[in-house]
Amino acid sequence: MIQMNFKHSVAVIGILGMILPSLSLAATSTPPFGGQNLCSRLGNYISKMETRVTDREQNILSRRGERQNKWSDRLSSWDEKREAQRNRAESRMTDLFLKLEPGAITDAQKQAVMDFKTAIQVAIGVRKTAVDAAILAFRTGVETQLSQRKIQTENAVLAYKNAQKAAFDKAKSSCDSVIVPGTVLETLKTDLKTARDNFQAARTAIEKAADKIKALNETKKAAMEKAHQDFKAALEKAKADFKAVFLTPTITPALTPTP
Amino acid sequence: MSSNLKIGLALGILALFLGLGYFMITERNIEDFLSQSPLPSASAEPESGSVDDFIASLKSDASFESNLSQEESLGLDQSINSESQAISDFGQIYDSNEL
Repeated sequence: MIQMNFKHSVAVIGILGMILPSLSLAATSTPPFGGQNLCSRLGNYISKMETRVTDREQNILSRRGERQNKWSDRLSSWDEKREAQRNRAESRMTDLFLKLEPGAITDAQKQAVMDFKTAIQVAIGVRKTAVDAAILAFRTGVETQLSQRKIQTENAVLAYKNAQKAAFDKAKSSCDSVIVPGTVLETLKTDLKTARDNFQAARTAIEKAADKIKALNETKKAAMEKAHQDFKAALEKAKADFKAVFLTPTITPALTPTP
Repeated sequence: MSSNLKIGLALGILALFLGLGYFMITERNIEDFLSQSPLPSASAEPESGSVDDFIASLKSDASFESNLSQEESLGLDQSINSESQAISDFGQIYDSNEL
């Protein structure tokens, strides 16, 4: 009997030995802001969240600044490259006509050189106008979209910051009153989730600017493609008209194809 | 032979020589011109001055402008994506698991 009781006692102690440490651990490893811990640790949480808001808002501003600077620099660079290319084309055209004009002997040839020159100049001018208009429309549209995006982002960030501050103020006030800590926690969670959801909804609208910019790009691309095709067709026609005169057998008998 | 006939004959011969000379010069000009300008020349350098090369260079310029324009759009896309990522990160500030 005594031996049985001793065995039971050992078993009970053993079981308690296994359970008690777990209970003790559970008591000290509750979630950071669960239950009564919330109010005592709210200050730290608020501080952490405010720092995070500041850092991430700064990150948005920094990326925007980088984007604006890069965009501005690149616009200048692209415009310079485009202008340089056009100047080189102008120079090549001048050189070519200096070579063509003395070689035109007959009236028909002289006229052909003049027509060719005019056709080339018109083709270049038409293309330049179309390309410049497409680029201007794109850049103006982009500026509008980016400007709207900036305002939308600023508003969304401000709304989030205000909502977060209101949620924290409410939680602090509740902690000072007789409201049950568990209720304070749930209310805070709901308020912060609402703030986050509202920001996400605003973000969806913000990202529409990117889609609109893509659409602007497609419009520009199509306009440039058309300008390119029209330009090529005009060049081919000018060349064909020119050659038709200069390769006429009566004018250049030496070059008449032999059967 | 009357003097008028002699003068006429001399003028005729002179005109013949002048015409022949003009023809030779003209033919040479046309040949020179065609050999360097309007005829297609597969071996010519891009800026040799031929019409074909000139037209090809203009087309190349047009392609360059189109590519430049696409580069412009691509650069903008990358910058916007970078900014979008920052905005997205802001939206992740609140993590319910931290509460």
